[in-house]
Amino acid sequence: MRAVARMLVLVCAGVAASAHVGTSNAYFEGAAGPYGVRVIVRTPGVIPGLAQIAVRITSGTGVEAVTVRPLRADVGLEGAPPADRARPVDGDAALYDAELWLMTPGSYSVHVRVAGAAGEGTAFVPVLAVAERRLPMPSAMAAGLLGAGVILFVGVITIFGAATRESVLPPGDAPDRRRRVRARVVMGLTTLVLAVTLWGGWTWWDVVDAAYRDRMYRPLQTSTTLTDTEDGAALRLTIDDPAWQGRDWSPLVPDHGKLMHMFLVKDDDLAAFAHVHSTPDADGRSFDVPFPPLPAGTYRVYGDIVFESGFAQTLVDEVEVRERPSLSPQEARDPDDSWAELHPHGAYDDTAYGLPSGRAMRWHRPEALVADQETTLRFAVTETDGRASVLEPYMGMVSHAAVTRDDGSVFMHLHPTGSISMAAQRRFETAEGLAKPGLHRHGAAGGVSFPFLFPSPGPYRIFVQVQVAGVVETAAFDVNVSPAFGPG
Amino acid sequence: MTTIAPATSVDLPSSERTAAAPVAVPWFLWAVAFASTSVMVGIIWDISWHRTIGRDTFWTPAHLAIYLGGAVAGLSCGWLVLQTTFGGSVRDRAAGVSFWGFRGPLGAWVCIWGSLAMITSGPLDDWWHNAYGLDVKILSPPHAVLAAGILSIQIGAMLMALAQQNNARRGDRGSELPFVYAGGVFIVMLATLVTQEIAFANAQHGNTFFIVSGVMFPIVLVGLARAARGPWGATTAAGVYMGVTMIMIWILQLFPAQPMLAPILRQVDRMVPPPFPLLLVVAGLVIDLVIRRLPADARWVRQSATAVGAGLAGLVLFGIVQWYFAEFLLSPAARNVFFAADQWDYNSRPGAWQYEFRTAPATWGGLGLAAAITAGSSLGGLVWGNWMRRVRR
Repeated sequence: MRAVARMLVLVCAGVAASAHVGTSNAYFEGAAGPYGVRVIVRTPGVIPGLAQIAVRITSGTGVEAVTVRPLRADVGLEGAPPADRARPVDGDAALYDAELWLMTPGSYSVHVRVAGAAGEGTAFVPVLAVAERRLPMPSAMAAGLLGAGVILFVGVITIFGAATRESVLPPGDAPDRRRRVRARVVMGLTTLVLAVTLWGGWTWWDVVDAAYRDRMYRPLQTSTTLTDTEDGAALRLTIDDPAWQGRDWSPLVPDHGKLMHMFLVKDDDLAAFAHVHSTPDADGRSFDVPFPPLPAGTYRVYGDIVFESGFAQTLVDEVEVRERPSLSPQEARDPDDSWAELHPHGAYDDTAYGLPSGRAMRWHRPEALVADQETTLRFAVTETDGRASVLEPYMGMVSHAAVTRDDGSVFMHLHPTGSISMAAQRRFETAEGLAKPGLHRHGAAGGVSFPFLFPSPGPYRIFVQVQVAGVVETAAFDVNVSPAFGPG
Repeated sequence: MTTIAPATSVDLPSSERTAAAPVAVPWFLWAVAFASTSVMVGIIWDISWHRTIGRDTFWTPAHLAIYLGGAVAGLSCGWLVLQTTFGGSVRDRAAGVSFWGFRGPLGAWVCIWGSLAMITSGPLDDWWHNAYGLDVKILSPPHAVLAAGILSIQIGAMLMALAQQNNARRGDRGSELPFVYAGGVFIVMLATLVTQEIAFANAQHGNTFFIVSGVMFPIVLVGLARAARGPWGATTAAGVYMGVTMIMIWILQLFPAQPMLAPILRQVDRMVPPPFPLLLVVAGLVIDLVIRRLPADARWVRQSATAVGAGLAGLVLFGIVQWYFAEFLLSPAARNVFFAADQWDYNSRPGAWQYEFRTAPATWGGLGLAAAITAGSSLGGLVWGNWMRRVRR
């Protein structure tokens, strides 16, 4: 079973898209001028394809119009089509929806504009346009097309037979035996030619399909090594992908001040987690980081990077740790590195988590969590005496979270602002001369919230990180997400 | 099985009668001519839509024109077949061919097949868009099925018009007109299929242009010249192709429009028209002048030599004229409403490439290959034309 899950991980890693694994959907929560908005972009999976945009007004009243526009990174608003008005959704006064075409692969942003009594405001939601799936043909449709194909096939043969047998005869003349025989010969030849044509069409289809699969997004190929150094165990993630050599990529840009946010998750029980920051070597191919003192085992390695174009991607690999590394000296580590040992996945089903400091983190878990449905993950941190803790910014954010499916087929790095890369958002804002100060909704004192949408049903673990009194603390919560249309 | 009445029992039009009279065009010929035109206008409109606006739904007027044409062809020919089979006179049934127990003109069956192929391509195309993304090319497997359907409707219209022409009395004026019109619309479709390869002036000095032209046009023009009763079958059909395309160029530009998809790399404020048509009348004229000298009962060797000579002469002269005309189209003199050589897709980046040849000039090797293909295509046209001039049902 484990082996099957492992294969699944590898397969899914192969088709994973965006700065995350298992979904390229983008979630944003923040301000559009005087209005609070939550934007969910469900990407189409094929390019060109139609993205579904949901805009929820979370604060502010008197909204009169919500519009959306797709911007491609290289041409921006100047090369964007006129705005589309999002339609209010029946039964939910705060929700608006729209559709936008993503035409070419690459870095896009959805430009959301909200206008109303309080004035107007805009927000940029970076989106990656990548082909990430291949649609199988439903069997009923295949059967229908096959039936139509047979009728057309036989129809052509019959037409050629009729054309040979009768078409040149003056009206009223009956075809003689010679014509009938010739018609049969022509029908036989037509069958052959049609068969060859169909084979050619089938081959053509195969060629298109192969070219499409070639264009599908896959993370860059990487390799990881763990070596012993004077400062302890050092993890090196190297990009081996031929596409990276002689690359036509735009340079990396820092996100929250780091060129790579690397996450390490212990593969078998998800009971160890690290959020570390590696630096690239001189040629930009390898990223080094001291491995934290975590238990031996196999670790999933996720490296989030953002390019200058706003294109974000997650490098995926794994590494074997034979014995618990020693703690590397402080000067060898990034000051914002953090790690934690947690209870094994599935061993503990509670919405309250005792942090090592004695504080507690509580998850306001909704009654039911359903795949592909918008939700909010809300957490509150309290002191030992029950008072709300004062949360400090951790790399510019009040909290960081990582959501992973137990088999690793989904991995996302979240902030209270959503799943988007802040660096990518800033890039779009700056390009349009609309950069704004980092005003992002953090939630109430002691509490944090993350907009989210579980992309698929199944068992998940949510790692939540906050900083209190200068110490980063990590909690883990497990949840089983139901299928969108019920278990049946 | 349907019994076919002997020829002697039917009062058939006699080609011996010579009284000159304008030919009455039956309703179904009007219907299929309309269908063929509607589909073609829809296709040109749709391509313009994708080059100008980008975003579409099934319900764009261009799509409606295409499917209206398909529906009219299928329904009118279906009705004709039912009427002929169950309500027609002996004479009507005798004027058709049998198909799975039904009777109707050969062209009607071809049109019905075309409608079914168009209907089949719909769900396949829709699935294709969901599986592989919206098409950015004219030719894809589902579009090939659609194109086969459309070409069938156009060939069906030609065949129905042929039966009319070939059963008309000698001297009946204009009996060939529906046929050459249908042939002209057929050429529009063929030229549209290879738009990306040959239609733009900056592609018209390369080997591909001459090779593709050698494949596509001699077979049709020689076939039309051979099959049409009048002396100017190929020329008229080429004229129809040019006329339809030019009318579409001039009309489309009248409609304001704006791109609705990103990235927009150039500002476009009206519908982008198709490129100016190829000067195929030159080829048609030469082919008509040569083919008309060929007696109906000439020996096969003479027929072949004449067809190959006509095709080669036509294509060589066309090639020379188009070579210089392409240079004209790239010059500032063609950047106006008439020639519309300055109209480009919203998602094409403006640049000097617009007015420069983008392929290497044709080589002698390439031209030799094009000539060999032209000869083969001309022979194909002869065979097709010889059959078409005998079609009676």
